Amino acid sequence: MTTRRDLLKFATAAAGAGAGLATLSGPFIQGVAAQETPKAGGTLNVGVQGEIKVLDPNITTLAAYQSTLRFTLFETLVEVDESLQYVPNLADSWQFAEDGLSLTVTLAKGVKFHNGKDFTSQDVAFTVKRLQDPGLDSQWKPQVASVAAVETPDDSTAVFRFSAPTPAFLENLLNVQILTEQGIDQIDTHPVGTGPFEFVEWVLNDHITLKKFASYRQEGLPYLDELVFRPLLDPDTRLTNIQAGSVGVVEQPSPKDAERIQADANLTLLVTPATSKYDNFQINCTADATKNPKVRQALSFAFDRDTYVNDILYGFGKPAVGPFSETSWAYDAAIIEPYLVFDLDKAKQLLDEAGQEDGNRLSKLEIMTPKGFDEIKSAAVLLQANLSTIGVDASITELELAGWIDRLVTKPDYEITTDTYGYGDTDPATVLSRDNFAPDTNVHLFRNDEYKALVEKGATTPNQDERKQIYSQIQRLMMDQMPGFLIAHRSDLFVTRKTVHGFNPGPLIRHHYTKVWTE
Amino acid sequence: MTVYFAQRLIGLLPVLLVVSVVAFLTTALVRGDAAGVMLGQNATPERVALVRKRFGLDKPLPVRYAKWMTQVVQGNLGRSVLNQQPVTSLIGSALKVTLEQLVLSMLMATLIALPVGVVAAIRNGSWLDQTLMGGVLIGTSVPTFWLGLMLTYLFAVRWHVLPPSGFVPFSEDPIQNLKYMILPTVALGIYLAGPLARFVRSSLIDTLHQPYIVTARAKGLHERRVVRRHALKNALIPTVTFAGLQVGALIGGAIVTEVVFSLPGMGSLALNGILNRDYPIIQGVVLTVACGYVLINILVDIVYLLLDPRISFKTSG
Amino acid sequence: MSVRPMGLDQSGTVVGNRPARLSTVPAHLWRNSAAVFRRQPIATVIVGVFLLVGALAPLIAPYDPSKIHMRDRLQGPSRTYPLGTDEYGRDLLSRIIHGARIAFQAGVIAVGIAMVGGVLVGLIAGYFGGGVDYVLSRILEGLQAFPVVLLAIAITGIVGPSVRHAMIAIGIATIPDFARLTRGVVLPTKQLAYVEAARVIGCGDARILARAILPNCVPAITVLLSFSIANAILYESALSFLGLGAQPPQPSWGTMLSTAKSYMFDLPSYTIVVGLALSLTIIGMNLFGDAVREVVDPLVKS
Repeated sequence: MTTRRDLLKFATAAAGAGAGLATLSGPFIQGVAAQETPKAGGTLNVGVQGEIKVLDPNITTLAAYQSTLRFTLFETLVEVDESLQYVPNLADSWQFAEDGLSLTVTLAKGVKFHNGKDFTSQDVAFTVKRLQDPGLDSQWKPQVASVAAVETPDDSTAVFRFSAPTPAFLENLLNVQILTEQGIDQIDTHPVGTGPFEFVEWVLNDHITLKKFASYRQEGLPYLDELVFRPLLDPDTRLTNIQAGSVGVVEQPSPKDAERIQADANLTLLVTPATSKYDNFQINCTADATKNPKVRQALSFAFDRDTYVNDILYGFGKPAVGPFSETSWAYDAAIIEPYLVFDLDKAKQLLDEAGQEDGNRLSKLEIMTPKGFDEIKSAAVLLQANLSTIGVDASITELELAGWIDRLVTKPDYEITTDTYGYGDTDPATVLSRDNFAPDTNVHLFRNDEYKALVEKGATTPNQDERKQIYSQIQRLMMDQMPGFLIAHRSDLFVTRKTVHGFNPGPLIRHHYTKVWTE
Repeated sequence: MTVYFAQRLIGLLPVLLVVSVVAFLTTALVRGDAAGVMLGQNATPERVALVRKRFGLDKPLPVRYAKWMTQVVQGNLGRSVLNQQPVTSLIGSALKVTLEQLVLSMLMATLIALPVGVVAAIRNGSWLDQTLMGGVLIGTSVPTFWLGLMLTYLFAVRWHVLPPSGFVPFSEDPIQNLKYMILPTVALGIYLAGPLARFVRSSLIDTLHQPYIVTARAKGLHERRVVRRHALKNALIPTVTFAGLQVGALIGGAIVTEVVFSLPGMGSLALNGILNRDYPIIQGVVLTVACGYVLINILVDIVYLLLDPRISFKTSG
Repeated sequence: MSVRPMGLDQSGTVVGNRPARLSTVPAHLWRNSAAVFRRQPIATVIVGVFLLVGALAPLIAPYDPSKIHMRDRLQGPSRTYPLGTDEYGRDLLSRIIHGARIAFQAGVIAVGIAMVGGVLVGLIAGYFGGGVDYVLSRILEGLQAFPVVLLAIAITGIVGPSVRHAMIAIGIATIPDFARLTRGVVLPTKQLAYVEAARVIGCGDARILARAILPNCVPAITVLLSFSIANAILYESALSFLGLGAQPPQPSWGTMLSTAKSYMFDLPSYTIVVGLALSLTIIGMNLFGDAVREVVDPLVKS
């Protein structure tokens, strides 16, 4: 266990005190030599954890899409560097207005889309319009929810006008992939963007092939000629494949194999900081069994987070209960820490109290878990075991994705389910805009006016100290009501062969392959 | 005879109809659909409805079924809901993999079953006979997926002799292709060898008791010649038909092997189709498999009849 | 995908050089059981042990199969845990014992469904013949053409994954085997003299079926029974392996194997021990079925 713990310490070594995104900065990649000269050409095979199910970036939030197409085919106006400072990407420079109600962006010149069209401010306007289209009802709409209009005074300038100040807007832009109107009707068969790679083909259940975009705006990049994503659903298969050399990069090996990977001279293990990705339990706040907040709190106290992080995540994570990571400026330790404990007696007591209030005590519970996610399935098993000691007979239902989504979302019919989540969000407003927490659309079916008001206020208040106060109130509310609870923030693990250089998903886990090259 | 054949062929149609309806119904009744799968767990009922509309999943059941049937009759199995790839092409590539798997496995099974069955028949009743038959039965009883796991562990993980999983088409790289196919072939072959060996054995035993064999022996022919010349040939033919039967059943059972060895065959295609609720794929696969199965059945029946007119000819219907 | 008994082709017609005959119902069950034991002593013992262990599981198992001991996880066989522990520290011996129970249930329920449904259909199809037979045979063909695993996925997709639902799927998929077998015996039997006589006397169809024809089917069904149970156990484990059967923490051998395979490098004994239990049970049942067949139908033996 020592090796892994050391890794983790090293990984978060520089995450010291301090406000802003810079808290997350610091070296987080071990063993990647950056000294050799990049070599152009070649094909890289990447083993990914899941499969994409659709090609339109605006309608899917599947993790598989993040790993494959989102950051290779498309680009955003701004990017982040290793120290989490915003850097120009498709935008050359930007300026917020004094009153915070507009953002003027100067766009990069000489950028082309894969279909040859030039990139102009019209494309920015179109992208925003599409995201806001009620006929599309995009799940990424919150990114641009506060944008009232996008003005395009000339081809290289775009002005965002907000309905209310949006301090987190730059972070929102990190997930706004720029599209163009020309060819948008083929987005389901041949998506087009400005990214370093262009789409070649998607063979169902087999692979996605991308090729180097010859007219990419950055000279000499990307190095790779071809990028092929192969879905390898089973973590053992991913490991054996990269050991055998049939793929050069693999995401999410099983944490238990970390030691073995490090011992392999051909492989490098990359560990990202445990800040923006998390595992959690989602609870249906309207179900009979779980509608009493005391019951939900009890479930949180009945979960042993330390065992989960140490024995299931092998140390690649940190216990959590509330939505914000420890390193976030919005994190309120005084409010959160009392809830970060494993206390079966307290859980039992809460269940008894809830039982007296409601007339019957919780005795049965169905825990759902999606297939293919071994770690959170273990979380379900752990919770089940603990609950059985305090008088709750819990059953586990493992469902494949389609069935799980159906019971979770399409026709909500569940009590509690495990879940895993991560978009690289750091700003609390962005975190709370996700469907785990969004006031109107969250999967917990938790609808609370006070919560909604606070969330909106937090997103539109420019002053950070004021925001911090608001988020403390929100955390207090969430701990009282416990619509759902996190169990751990996790690190993302990647494995690359030593012959693959330049792979660097960053602390926000943005899968870029622009500067990747193979020997 | 021709009447029988024609009857059976016509009988194919209602079977296919039943199969297609069942497949369609289960797709419809199964919880969840492709829209939810595409969106991920952050969908809302409203979003799901929108995506359904976009990909044509919102029409009522009978309408979709009718549309699909008309397409099928024209030879078009439709397109995958997820990426619009024609189902026929998906099935085409998957079928090649499955067929290769089946052919190789049957070859392996025959390689094991033939000598074993023959020797056991000749030494009928002896200790050798019992051991051999026991041996192949064990081979059939061990679950294929476990056998596959153990083989993978030994040859791929421990000894690094063979690749653990994956596939390369024969046309692309024959050597690599065979390397990938060795382990699944062995696993399946061992499983198939059991029933085949017993059939060889019992039909050879029967043949050896035939009057004409007794006559051959009486004439003074060497035992080996007797066996090889006369008995074996006649024993083999029903064996071939029996093998054909096993193949029919095997197509359906290949899913587990394909999962263990990550082979992109019909089984994986079907499994993924169901997981993604990609109903054109599910329909297409089930229909193809059912067709294949029934056709093989008909073929086998015909061969049986041609072979031995003494067999009671039962017209069903 | 079942091991077919000799002497019958896939459509249930008696083939080979054996004339259709009236087989005798074993008159002395005890004598035949002893004969089976003599033929395959080891297999009979295995089957016996399996049934016993399955029935008495809660009494025999040293630990609660769901009890988690995280500190002791992934250990090899030791004095405290005779067969080692799994990834949550649960005792493997206890889990394997309870797994026998699940396998036992799978076999019984699945084959029960198959037998009742199949024999009924076979009797009706064979006895009444004509259009009824045609329709039923086509339906049976269609059912057989539907791969078991796909059927199981479909059923569990509708009603949710569980051992019970997997067993129902297996049961339904095995109906054709019993149906065809029964039909194959009914066809020649109904032409026999004493059945004709019964009809002449005025016995109703149901009576004839139950009294005259069904007993004739018993030997063949008995043989198929053993093989079908072995098959059902195999299928249940395959379905659980794919995640369509037992849900955690149920210790189905198939689910255990599917997890064990992730730990093959760290703890190969996990896969080996569970796989052996499963294999031995199936082997035992198949060999037992062999012996049963030899006793029941002496023609095959020679």
